[in-house]
Amino acid sequence: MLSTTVKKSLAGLAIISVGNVFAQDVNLNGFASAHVTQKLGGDSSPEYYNQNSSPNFYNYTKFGLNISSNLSEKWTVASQVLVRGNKQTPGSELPQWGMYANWAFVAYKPQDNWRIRLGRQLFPAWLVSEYIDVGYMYPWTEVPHAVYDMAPFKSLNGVSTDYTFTLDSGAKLGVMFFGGQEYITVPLAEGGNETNSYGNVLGTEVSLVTGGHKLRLMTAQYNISSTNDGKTYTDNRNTTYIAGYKYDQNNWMVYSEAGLREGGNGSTVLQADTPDMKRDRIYNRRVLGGYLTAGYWFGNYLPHVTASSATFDTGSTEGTQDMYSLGLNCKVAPNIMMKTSLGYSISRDGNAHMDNEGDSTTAVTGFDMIF
Amino acid sequence: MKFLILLMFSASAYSQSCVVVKGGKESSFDGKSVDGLSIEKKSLNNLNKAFPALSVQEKVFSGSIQTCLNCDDNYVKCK
Repeated sequence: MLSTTVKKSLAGLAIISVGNVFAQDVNLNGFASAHVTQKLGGDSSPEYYNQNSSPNFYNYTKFGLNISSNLSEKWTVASQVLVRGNKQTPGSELPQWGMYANWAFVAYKPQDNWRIRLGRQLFPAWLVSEYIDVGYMYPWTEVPHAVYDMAPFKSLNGVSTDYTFTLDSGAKLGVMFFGGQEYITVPLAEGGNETNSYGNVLGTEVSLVTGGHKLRLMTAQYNISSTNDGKTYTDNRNTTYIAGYKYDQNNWMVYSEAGLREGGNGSTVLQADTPDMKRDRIYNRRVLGGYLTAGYWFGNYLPHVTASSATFDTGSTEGTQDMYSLGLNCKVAPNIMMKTSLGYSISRDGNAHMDNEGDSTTAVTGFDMIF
Repeated sequence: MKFLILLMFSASAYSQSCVVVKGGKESSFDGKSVDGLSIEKKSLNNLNKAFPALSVQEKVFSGSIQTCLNCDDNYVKCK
C-alpha cells in the first residue's frame, strides 16, 4: 500500500503536470465516423456485426479527440478520447454509448529518433494499430477481422520505447519494445460480467519503411486470467505473431497481414472482448488468419477488394470463416472520405464465429473524417 | 498540347512549398523527416499532399508528432 505522504506527493505531481499542460499550447486533432450496416441476405451472420435484419447505425460510428501538448522540447503528454457505440445491454435493443481512453501517456524523446512512452498506449499489434479508430487513415469501413480480432485488447497500460535507424539507402528501420497489462470487463448476455486481465504483456516490433513500402513484424506474449461467476480461469503465455506489409503510393494501394495466436498451457475458453472493437468473442486457443487488400486511386475514387480467412482450431467454436468484400471510397473533401462496402462471409467446418454454419451478405456505408 | 499538360503538371507538383522554421529562420523543407518538428495545423493537408512518403497524417493521429496552432519555433509550414 502507498503511504499517505506518497499519495499526496503523487497527487501534487499530477496537479502540477495538469497545470503545466494548460500553461502550454494544447493541440487538438479530431476524427469521426458515421456508418450504417445492413444485412442483405444469408442464413447466418458474423458475430462482430452484432445485428439482426434491421439497419445498425452504431457498429462503426464513433468520435475521437487527440489532445496533446509539448511540455518542452523533449517531453510531450498525449491522450486520445473515444466515444462510440458499444455492445447492446443484454436484453435491450438500444446501443450503449461509452467514452474510452485509448491513450494517456507521457513521452520523452532523449533524441529525435528515440522515444520512451509511459502510461496508457495502443497495443502495437497491427499495421494500423496506432490509428486503429481513425477510419479516415485506412481504406476499409472496418479493419479486417481475420487478423484484427486476433488479440483481445488494443490498449495497454505500461511502457514502450522505440528507436529509428536511418539506413544509408534512406530507408527507416524502427525497433520497438513494449510491456504492460490490460483489464477488460465484458457484460455477459446472460447477465453479470466477466473480468479479463492480460498481464505481463511483453513484445517487440520491427518495421522497415522505404518509399511507399512498409514491412513490419510483431510478436507479443501475455498471460490471461478471467473471472466469471466467482471462478477464475488462467491461460499462461499466449503468443501472437503478426506480419504486415503496406504499399500506398503512385495510385496503387496494397495492405496485407497474416497472424497466428496460440494459447498456452491450461488454456480455457474465454469470453474476451475489447470495450469497443469486438463483440461476444469466444476466445480460442489457436487462431490463424490473414487478408489481402488491393486498390487503385482514380483521382478521388478508390475501388478496392479484400479477401480474408481465419481458422479457429480449438475451443467451443471451430471452423474457418472466409470473407470477401468490394469497397468504393470517395474523397469528397481533403479531410472527408465516403466509404461503401459490400461483404460476403461464409463459415465452413464449424461456426467459426458466425451465428451458425452458413453465409451472410452485408453492406456498410458512411463517412470518415479528420479535423 | 503536351507542353501545356507538362506545364500544368509541374505547376501542381510545385505549388506546395513547405519550409522549416527554426531559431527564427526559415529554410526549405526537404521532406525527408519530421523528427523533432511540429506541424502547423493549417498546413497539415498540404504537407501530406506534398510529401506522401512522410505519412504525416499517420504520425499526427498516432501521437508521434504534434501539430501547433500558434507555432513559435521548430515547426514546418506550407504555403
